[in-house]
Parts: sequence; C-alpha cells; structure tokens
Amino acid sequence: MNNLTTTTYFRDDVLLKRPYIRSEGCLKAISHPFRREIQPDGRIRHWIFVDELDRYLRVVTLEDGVTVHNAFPDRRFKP
Amino acid sequence: MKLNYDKETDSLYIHLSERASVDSDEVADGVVLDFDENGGLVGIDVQHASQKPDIQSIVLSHLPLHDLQAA
Repeated sequence: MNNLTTTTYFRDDVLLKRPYIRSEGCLKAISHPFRREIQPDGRIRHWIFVDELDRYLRVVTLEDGVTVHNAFPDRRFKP
Repeated sequence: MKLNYDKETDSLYIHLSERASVDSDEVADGVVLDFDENGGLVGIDVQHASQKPDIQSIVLSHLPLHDLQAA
C-alpha cells in the first residue's frame, strides 16, 4: 500500500481480511472516482470499477478525502 | 474469534477466523460481511460500532472456549 494514507483500522483489520484490495484501485478511486458522495458522518465514498473484481469498488476515506478507512466490492452500487 | 475495536474511528472488526476473504457484502449501512472462497463467513466489519445498541455489551453463554483474553 505504498503512497496510500490509511487508518490503522484499514491497515490492520480491513487489509488483513481483504488482501485482494489493491493500493492502485484505492488511489484511482480517490483521484478519479466514477462517483463520489459524502456520507452523513462526513466520510467520503468513492467508487471505481475494478476489472479484476468485475465489480465496483467502494473506497471510503475520512473527511480529508485522502485517508483510506475502508474498501470493499459494492454489490449494491448502481452506476 | 478476535474482536478488534478502533476507538479513533469507532470501528469494530470481528475476525471469525484467520482465513482471508475473497468477497464481501454490505448487509446494512456500515456493516460488511467477508466471505472466504467457500462462501464461509470469516469476518464482520462494523462502522460506528458504539452507536449499534446490540453490540454495546457482550454476553458469552455456553461457548466451548479454550482461551479468553482481553488486550
């Protein structure tokens, strides 16, 4: 996860459980999201289509829009 | 099973096994389940955990525990 700023939770729990999450996908989601939405709690959702997953990946950052806190393939996302 | 709570982000990860997941599904807002290659549930990711009334306390009842640790 070089060049990717993350929370401790993302690094120690999310990535441990979801090793298929790649830093490239997270960085692309943040820099060039297909869609971007601010959650009620201020955190920001970014979606990007990932060919390897054949799904949209949801990347959630903290309020700063940079620090990745969560990421998972979003089965319910409707483009 | 291991429960990791991150106070800074109010996030709880419940590691049901040490196996990695190959797929995930958000079953409720802020609750993501992680599945292994056989479709088995290997973990639960809970956001804003302190706001979920059902997980503000833990009751262990008749579990065949071999070890219980608080870290």
